[in-house]
Amino acid sequence: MRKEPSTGVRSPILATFRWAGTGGMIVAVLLPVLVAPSDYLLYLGTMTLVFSLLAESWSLLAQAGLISFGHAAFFGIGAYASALLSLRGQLSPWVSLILAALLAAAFGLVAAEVAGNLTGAYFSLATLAMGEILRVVALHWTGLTEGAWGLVGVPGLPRLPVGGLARLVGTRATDYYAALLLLAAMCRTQSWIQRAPLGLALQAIRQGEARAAASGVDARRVKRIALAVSGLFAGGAGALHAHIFQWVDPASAFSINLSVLPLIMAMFGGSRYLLGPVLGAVILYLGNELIFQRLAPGGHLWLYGGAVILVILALPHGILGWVEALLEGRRGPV
Amino acid sequence: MGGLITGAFYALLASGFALIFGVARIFNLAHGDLVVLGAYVGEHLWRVAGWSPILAMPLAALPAMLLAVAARPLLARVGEPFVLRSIVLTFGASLLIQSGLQTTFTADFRLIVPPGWDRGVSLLGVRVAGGRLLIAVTALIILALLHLLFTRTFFGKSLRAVSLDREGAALAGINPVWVDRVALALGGALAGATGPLFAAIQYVTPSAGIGPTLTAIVLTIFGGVGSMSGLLLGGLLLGLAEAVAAWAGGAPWREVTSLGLLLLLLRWRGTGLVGGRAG
Repeated sequence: MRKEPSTGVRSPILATFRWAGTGGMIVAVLLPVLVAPSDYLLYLGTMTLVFSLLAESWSLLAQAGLISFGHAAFFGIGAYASALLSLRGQLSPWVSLILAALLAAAFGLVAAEVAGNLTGAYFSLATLAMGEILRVVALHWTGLTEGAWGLVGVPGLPRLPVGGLARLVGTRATDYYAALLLLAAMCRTQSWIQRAPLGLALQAIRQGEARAAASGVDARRVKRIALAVSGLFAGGAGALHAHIFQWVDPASAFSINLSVLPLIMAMFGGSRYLLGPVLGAVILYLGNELIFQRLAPGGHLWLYGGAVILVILALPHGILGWVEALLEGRRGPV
Repeated sequence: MGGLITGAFYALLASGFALIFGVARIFNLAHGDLVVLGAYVGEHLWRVAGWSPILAMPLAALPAMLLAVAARPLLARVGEPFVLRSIVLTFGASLLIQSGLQTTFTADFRLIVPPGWDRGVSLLGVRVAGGRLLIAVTALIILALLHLLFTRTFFGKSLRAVSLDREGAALAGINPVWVDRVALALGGALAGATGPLFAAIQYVTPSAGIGPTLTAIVLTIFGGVGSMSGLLLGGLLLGLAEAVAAWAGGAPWREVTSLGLLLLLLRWRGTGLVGGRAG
């Protein structure tokens, strides 16, 4: 264990990261104003935040060395639950979003029941199987989900009225700020957990469950909490996705890509750092949408596959890990 | 009966995965994509030259084998925890292979339909399609050969020695790195060779690899590593369970069966498996 994640300001380098984070936050808040005339750019910004949220929720489990291959399960439950509650249950999208996130958190508890005693590769496999099972269920339980057709006409989050504020930030800024709010809440929770005893317990589990148990960590309980919190926010990301697109189907809500992308984004950015997953999501999602799609449409698999192989082989702690090592090298050993 | 025939095919499907996992400790999530790669080669040979899937197997094995061997120097650079990182790495490889297949062969559905394969054959009073029987027999022959290889030859014994105890095998004068390389080549070749049979059983698309990968994982966890009979038994049970589930509840249940079995197996024997070093 070489580096602590950014728990408080321990070194000047982490302080630099913190400044960059604050700067990023200011840019994120002002972004709708900067791109106001373009709905497309605002949409890209919103989707970047949704994927950041998903990647950040994924990295909470990674703190404990739990590599989830099934985050699509949380995402899809959030998407379907919120779509059904607002479509058939006539609830306000805001209410359905919160209920859907809670339902995904509850599924996190179920997942902890099923996979809580597994470690390493076996935990990953169990999550992979759970995500795939839910996809098949969503595909075939047509009474509830309309099967492969999906649910159409899901109510969107309310738009800003034309004129007034909307002139400044665009009518779809509610989507954007809802995503930003959830991401901020996720990051706040993450940094709070890292400082709290729970964060230490997660790290202890990563370094070996037997050792953690010997020092009084109740591994099953800690995993249950981590899975529930991670599920809560991943479910929120799914619910947002459903309301942004106003449509859900098994292929988009439970796509295996939704399990792969957070993993790749978080590892690419640096899953040990608070803002690593966000950075990974920004680079990979925007890089794909703005650059890669134009050069080679449909070639996103090359980008993501290549990124993950690069990380495993050359950047074991992601981009932020690499930057930190670079900065440390310049200053000499501290 | 259909379940038993599928079972033999499943065991062949899993053999390459089990070999690579057992010897080199690599959890190869690109396994199914290697199978699909072989399937496309087989389909191409069948459509262009009219080759039977059985005949196409050696050629289909070639590209998958080359890929597996080419991955060896990359895998040597993977740090700890090795099993977990190898999972992520092979997942990346899986995406790359799918992408390559999509550009080369397009996303169309492909199927090999050799003439006469659907003709019924009577076996123990049950009528089965001749082609499926041929597939099962082929699978059994290959499994029997592998069994002989593992138990009767020095090479097979060194494979099993490395799988049981790397350091011990090295002390006994076996070079584990060399054995790794051969296991990767053989495992990759087996995955590729299964491909044409796979395409004769079901439709193939570039993203079809996840199914075979999961089946291989289930059987390996069930049957253990380096035991052909364990794989075969697991394959037969899985084939039967799927057939029963599909018969009782309809086609969707077939897909859920193997996944559900995987979860059950993990719960029961999860941490006490051969992959004690997983994590």
